[in-house]
Amino acid sequence: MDRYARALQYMLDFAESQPDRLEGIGKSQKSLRKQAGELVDKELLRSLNKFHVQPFKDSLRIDFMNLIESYVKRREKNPRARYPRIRIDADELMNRLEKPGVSMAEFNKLYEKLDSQKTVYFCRYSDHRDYSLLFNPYKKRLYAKLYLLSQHDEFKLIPHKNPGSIFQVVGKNKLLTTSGRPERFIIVPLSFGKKQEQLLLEALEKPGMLKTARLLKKNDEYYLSVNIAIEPEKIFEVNGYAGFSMADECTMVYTVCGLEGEMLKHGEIEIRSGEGIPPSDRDGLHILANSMTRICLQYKAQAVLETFPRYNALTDILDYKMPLKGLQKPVRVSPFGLWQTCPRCGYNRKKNKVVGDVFLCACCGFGIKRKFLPPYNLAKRLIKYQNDKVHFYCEQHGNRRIIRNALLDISYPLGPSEGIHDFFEYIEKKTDELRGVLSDRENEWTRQEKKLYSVWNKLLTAGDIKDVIVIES
Amino acid sequence: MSIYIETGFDSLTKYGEELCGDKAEIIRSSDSVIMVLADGLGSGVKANILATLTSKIIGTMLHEGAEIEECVDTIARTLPVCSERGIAYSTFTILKIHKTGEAYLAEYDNPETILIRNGKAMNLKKTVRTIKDKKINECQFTVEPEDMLILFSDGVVHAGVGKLLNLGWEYENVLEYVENAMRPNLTARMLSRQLVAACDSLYLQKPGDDTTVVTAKVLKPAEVRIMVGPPVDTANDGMVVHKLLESTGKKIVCGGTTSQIVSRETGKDLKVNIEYHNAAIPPTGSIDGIDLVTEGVLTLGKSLDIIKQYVSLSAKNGNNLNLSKKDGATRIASMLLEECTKVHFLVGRAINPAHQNPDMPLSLSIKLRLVEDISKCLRSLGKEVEVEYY
Repeated sequence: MDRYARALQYMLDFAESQPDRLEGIGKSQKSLRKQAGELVDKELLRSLNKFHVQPFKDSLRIDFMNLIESYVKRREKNPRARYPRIRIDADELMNRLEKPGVSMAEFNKLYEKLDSQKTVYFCRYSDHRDYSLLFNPYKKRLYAKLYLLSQHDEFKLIPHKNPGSIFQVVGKNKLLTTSGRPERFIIVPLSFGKKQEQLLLEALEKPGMLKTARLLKKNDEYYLSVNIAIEPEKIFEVNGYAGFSMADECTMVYTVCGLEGEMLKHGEIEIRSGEGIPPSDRDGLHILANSMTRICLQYKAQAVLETFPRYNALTDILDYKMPLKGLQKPVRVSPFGLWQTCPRCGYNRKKNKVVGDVFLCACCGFGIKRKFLPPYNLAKRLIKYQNDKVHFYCEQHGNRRIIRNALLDISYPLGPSEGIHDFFEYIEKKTDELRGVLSDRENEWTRQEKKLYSVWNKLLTAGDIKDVIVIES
Repeated sequence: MSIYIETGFDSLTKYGEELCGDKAEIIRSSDSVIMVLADGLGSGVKANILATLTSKIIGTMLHEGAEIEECVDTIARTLPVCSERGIAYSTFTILKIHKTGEAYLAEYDNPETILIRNGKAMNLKKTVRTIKDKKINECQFTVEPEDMLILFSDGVVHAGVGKLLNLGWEYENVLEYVENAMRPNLTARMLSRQLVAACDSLYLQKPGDDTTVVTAKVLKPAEVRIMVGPPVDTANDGMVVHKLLESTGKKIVCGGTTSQIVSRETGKDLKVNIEYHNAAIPPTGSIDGIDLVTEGVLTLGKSLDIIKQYVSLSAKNGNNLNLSKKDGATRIASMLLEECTKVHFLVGRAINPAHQNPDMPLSLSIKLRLVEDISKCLRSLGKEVEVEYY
């Protein structure tokens, strides 16, 4: 892990020494990852041999590309974004300190990286390189086979303490027998929970399930984090929406509503005391995520949460837990107006008051316990977005009328003999032209581009375009 | 000064009871409107009888010119006596408003009436009069256009007690809520429905007491004149258009041919608006001097749907009717419901064959039927409606 970290840092330092090339990333039409990959040439890869990381060159390349891509995206939002650093050795740290203008904060950050190690990335599942999992049918036990050395290394490892042990390679129709000779790999036993064991044993039957892995060290123990591709259950048709929100330090509240926005259920989920919301430890997050998934499963509802960063870790877990149960992934929406908008009529004014513990709408008289107001609004927000129309504005310029939408960059002059149907035909034609084009680079869009895409998507997916358009003067 | 009094009321029956123990009575005469709200002792059938007797007696007697003392005396001698408690009891609030703007208010054991003027609650100076051992709070005052008066039973003040609110809604909170609820074009009917809906929410849809709200909004008389369809005799085109234009209130023209007639007679261009709000409703047009120009039968039909929805709104679903939409049908409905006290239809009897139902006699065109139904709904809301045929 130390060699891996030093090799990766070497690659980062190499890229940093070529500021022109680094600056140029993001300026061409190619994806950011491709452009980052172009920084890694054969010469650089050859120079990594001094770190004895030959088995990991592909992995290092991928890790490097990920770091540069992430850095460039951060730089687009903030030109002063910090260049990534994996580790620093003592000499280099001293050199940095001697430079003028090093702040305490910067020093602390560098100190944290002193001789730090990096998780080792195994970029493929393979029985003759990188990593694989082995199953001992007699002991009914699972092992990991990790290639840590190259064939050029003089030093070799004794892979397993019991020569002659027979293993089945998980996911491949092969057996492996240990010989007792030094090898480039080691074989280590694994321990895990019941759910994980179930998945790993499933992999014995399904080749291709096991993907990449990372080797990490925590508190003097080694962990292997394995990515598994699981076929999700068939995704249910959405039958409702469930909004989740914090009520206080110990409680998450939820409201489930039907497709028309009718309230089906309010409820609360108690969080383990002292954990905060959402819980900061992984166990607490998983317990909470499981509760939320159960609720959504009961009503075949799609979860809706706010876009606040505090929900990021929880959403990452829900993103895979919910599809595993056949549910749609959760959706994050803006928290604007959650505490003030009437979920029944949409009235959003400061005049909407709270009496005691109760929210009362000043427009329609709807009342609800205040803590259930945000989750109800969250649950109904998707319905609102679906019902929102695309607005165009008609301007009169002398004898001419022009129909515009600034976001879509549309400016359609109505001819003297043209009517509204001509405009609709024009929009339909434009929408057809854009079909398929818009999905490129979807994951790299900025916030403004995503907004633009969502508006075009509304037009693209409408059964009849007239149903989703409003023209105002 | 002549004013128009728009009224509305709504009720909740105590959960588990068949009949509401509150009763509201509104009596209109040529020169005044009398509103009576009575709350019978207890709940259910007995309370309903007490409240009904009280409101009917008071309303009728006042309408016939009796004094308040006579009304109280009659009630005291008429109401049945409770065998357990030995008393015959019903609270009441009386509000009489003359078309000149003079108002008389009398309250007996009901929560104080709220008067909202310019968005704020006004303090009404009351005097206490004792009649037959009953302390009646009285007040004489003058109302102004856009004043809103709210009478309510104690079910409103206690809304939510033991459920969402420990001490109930409480009078001060009701007052604050009403002030916050004030907005342009809020009708008396919408406000009474909204308040009762709020009470229903606080009671968690299981009212602990009968709850009634009666509202009165003071308006300057305002007329909307609406021309629908061309006259049978084309020679009358000019006369009908003149009749439309001589109105000082808002003017609506419905129908393509009708719009062309108005355009021709006024010499003003008819422009078709490009605005588009609803695929089901044809676009509107504009003629200088006319507030709204729409298509005919389709738009009127949709307007009727909206008006019927408004009439049938209940406290259970609140005031969830959006009258601010910009399509022609909603604009007609909004103008007829919120912006006038009187509607004058100028209906042309020339029948468009395209609209004719082949199974019905020629005289029953869809257009005429629509006007009839709209008029019926508007009259049920207390509006004056006049229909002239040409």
